[in-house]
Amino acid sequence: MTDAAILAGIADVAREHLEWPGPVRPEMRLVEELRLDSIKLLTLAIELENRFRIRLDEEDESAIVTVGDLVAAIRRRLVDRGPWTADRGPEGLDPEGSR
Amino acid sequence: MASIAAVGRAFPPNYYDQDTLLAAFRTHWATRHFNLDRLEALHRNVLVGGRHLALPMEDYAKLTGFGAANGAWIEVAQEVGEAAVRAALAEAGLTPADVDALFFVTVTGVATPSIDARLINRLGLPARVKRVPIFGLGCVGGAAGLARAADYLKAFPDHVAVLLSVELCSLTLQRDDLSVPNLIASGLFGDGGAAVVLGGRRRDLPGPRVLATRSIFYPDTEGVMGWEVTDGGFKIVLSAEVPDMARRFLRHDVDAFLADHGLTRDRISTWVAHPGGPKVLLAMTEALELQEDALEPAWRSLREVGNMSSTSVLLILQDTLRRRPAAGGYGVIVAMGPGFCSELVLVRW
Repeated sequence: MTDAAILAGIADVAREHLEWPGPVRPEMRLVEELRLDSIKLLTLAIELENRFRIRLDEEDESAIVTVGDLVAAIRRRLVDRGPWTADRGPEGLDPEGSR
Repeated sequence: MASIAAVGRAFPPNYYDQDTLLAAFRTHWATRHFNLDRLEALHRNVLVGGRHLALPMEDYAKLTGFGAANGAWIEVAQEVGEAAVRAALAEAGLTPADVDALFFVTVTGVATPSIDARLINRLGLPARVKRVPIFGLGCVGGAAGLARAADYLKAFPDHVAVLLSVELCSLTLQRDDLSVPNLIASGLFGDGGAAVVLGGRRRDLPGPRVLATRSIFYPDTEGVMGWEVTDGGFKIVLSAEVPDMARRFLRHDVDAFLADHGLTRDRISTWVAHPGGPKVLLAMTEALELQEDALEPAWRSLREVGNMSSTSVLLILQDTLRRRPAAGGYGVIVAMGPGFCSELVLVRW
């Protein structure tokens, strides 16, 4: 998956779940510019995990300041995870790419 | 000034430890969420060990909408409310015939006739009883209800007032709402009720005296906490600002309140605090510069029965009374809730 596709996914999640109407750019800071408090940061993490079928851990999260950091963390987790197969996820979740 | 003669409590019979509840929630969460371990960690972070539920666990799936959930609320609220009032009256050595006013606070269900009216029938309270049903105060309702009952007794110093709080938070849970605020709420809130018997000055009932009360409203903070009322019922609104409100305002407000009565924080021997959650209790401890264990009864109540909204602070008041604080010492009952607002009650043990 390209960084542009990951960024587009982040923008979708921000619009659907964080009521963020504007553009999302790599240099934007999550707390200061996207105005994410602790509940919104958690919402972002949960919804990105749902969308990309990955698990972000504390190590990832403590180093994330900007949207670009988030893109890089998601890219790393996607590489670790390997290609998605529908039978590896929890029941009821759509396989990646179906959205 | 009014005295707090007794506190009674009652719970629905269904008690579940957090592991049992978590197992059921995980199955439900899996219909939408990928990383269930993260959600479980969120649940465990609220430090609740178990909770009473209004209904047996398996019955919640049968609640198909607001009408069904609120119908169950009306039934169980009467049972819990009756048991709590009977326990409080017995503890005070009084009978239903002694009650002049009944204040009823809740935020988890609606009824007309209200629960207090139905309890007149169930308890055999006198027909003259003045009823004050109060809906919508949320977590501040226990402290605010005490304050309003004490206010009433200033006007009728020979009366006995009963404050009843019943909160059946589990019946407000929106199964389809898998947002973070609802995930937190589903781990935090429990069900039950508590009743307080207060006597006016001329009744001279034994127990701590209510010296003063104070309401503090924080303008333009409506979005911090509350309900969004939907077709499915009460959907929780919970922002990350709740602990910040305690951190920002509580020290100043408590100090100003105490100063008006010639007191300072170091003169307060006992704090009775509403256990909003771990972050709120830590923020209160920090804001009021308390010893680490000063709010232990609130932490213990949170562990044992969860946050029960307006009921919780009354359970902690009961625990505090049972530990018999040294007579003559001062105590402050403190709670915060939707508005956003605080309520403070100064008592002398």
